[in-house]
Amino acid sequence: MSKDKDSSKTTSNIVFAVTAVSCVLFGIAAFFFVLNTPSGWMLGPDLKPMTQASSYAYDIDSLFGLITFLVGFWFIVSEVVLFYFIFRFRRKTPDQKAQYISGEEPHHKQWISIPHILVILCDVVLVVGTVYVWYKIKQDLPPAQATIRVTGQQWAWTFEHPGPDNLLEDDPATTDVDESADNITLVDELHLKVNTVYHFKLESTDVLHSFSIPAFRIKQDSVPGRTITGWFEPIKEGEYDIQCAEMCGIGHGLMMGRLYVHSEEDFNQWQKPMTSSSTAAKMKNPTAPNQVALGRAALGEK
Amino acid sequence: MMMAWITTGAVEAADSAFSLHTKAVYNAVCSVCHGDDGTGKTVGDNRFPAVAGLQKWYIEDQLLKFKHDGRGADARDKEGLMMHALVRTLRTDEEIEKMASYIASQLKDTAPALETVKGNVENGRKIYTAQGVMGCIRCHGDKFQGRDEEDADQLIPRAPSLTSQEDWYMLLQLEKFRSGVRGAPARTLIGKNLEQRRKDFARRQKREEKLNGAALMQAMSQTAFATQKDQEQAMKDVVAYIYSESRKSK
Repeated sequence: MSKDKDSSKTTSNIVFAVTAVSCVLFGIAAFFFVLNTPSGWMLGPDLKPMTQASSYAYDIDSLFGLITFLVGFWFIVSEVVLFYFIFRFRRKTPDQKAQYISGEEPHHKQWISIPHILVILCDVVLVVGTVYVWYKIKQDLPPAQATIRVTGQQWAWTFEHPGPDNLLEDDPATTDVDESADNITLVDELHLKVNTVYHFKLESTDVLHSFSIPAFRIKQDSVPGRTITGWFEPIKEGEYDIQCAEMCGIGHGLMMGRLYVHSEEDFNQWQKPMTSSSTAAKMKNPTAPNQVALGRAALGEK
Repeated sequence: MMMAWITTGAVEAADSAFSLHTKAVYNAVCSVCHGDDGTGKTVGDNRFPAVAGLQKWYIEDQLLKFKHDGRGADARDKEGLMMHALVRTLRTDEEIEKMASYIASQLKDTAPALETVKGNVENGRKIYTAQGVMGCIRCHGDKFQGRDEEDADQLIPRAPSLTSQEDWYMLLQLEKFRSGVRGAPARTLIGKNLEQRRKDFARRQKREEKLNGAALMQAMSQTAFATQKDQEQAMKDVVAYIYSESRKSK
């Protein structure tokens, strides 16, 4: 009988030791994994850190890093305390009875209340970081150097580039010129110039989609009937994935595009043959009087 | 052990023409829209065309075009965009070839006729059977059977059979050709490589292709109706004629 008890005690000790050590090792490994990849902790399909190709990719990664760092710290601390207590207050003699502790004594309570306050302080740090990043990416809209239109539909992304005149839509001040005539519309292929602040106008023609460029750390839902304006600034030349990140039907997993970030030279080289014949078509109706100007004059406006 | 070997052998023999994988892909992906038997489907407001009854080369050619921005890569092509994405299920040219072979050999065109396009059949007959380069009959044939070999000297490309297609689909495609939505590759980087890919593909299939049927179709659809008073109605007439005759011949 006592032999059985001894062996079960040994087994449970081994199980306990292995669990405790592996938990702590896992925490430490996760920790170093975050710290050792300064270029971005997000992994791409090749299991290598994903490029930070937009100006705010670093902010997003830092925020994720901060969260992982703080949560990881508390994970390790709480696991160490948990397993220490299990070990410290284990059954030491075969006839020892379990003791009921209500947790009302101050020296018992402080194991909860002190970490509680510390965790709340960490939360404040996270909230400050989150608000800063949210404001920078979603609230603040830096002036655009170019604007593109992105349309999601089952199951393709349509990108309307502004073309050589760098204007996506008609400017009310120069209404006799159709600014959209030289626009370049491509399906599942987006071309951007490096170090340029782009505004995107995101639309959807059928259901919810989500415009996601992992290398830019951007993910924005597109909603039918709404035009959502956002921005990004590519900072690294290269070829990146575009995907849909909102379940949108049977083809959702195949709704992918390719993003090319060019140097200024390469961008012009790409753009030139795309719009060679469109300059003549650009004038809507060169001889007709400016209808809007006439209308404004008739209404007594200047 | 022996038993297992015999059963596996039997399954392999039965599917020697196409792999089990191809069949599984058709049943899991393609059949959702094109139907288990390949005769098309109507889901809500969306109609999906029949694939059964088409020639193998045509299915293969269209899948290749969808894959490499030769078709369905135009923002105006709502239906094409769906196929443009879903064809990515087939990752290689070999898989495309197997799928085309499966559809052409295993699925039988059994769809009942359902007339949805109204038109003047007599006017349609005139346009279809017109003599010279403008007549549809030149490529698609007097029995709407299409042709499997091109005649480069006469400038007659290969052409798909029209007998298995529903009228709404033919009208839709005719409109797409005419408005330039279909018939030319997109100006994407992938689309620019399409011609080379098609040449390589043709070489692998040990056939020669000199004429670009889609480009010719685009040009024809834009010129054939030019003399008609009501071009929209003229297209309907042609489709109504083809549909009435092709269904009659069954």
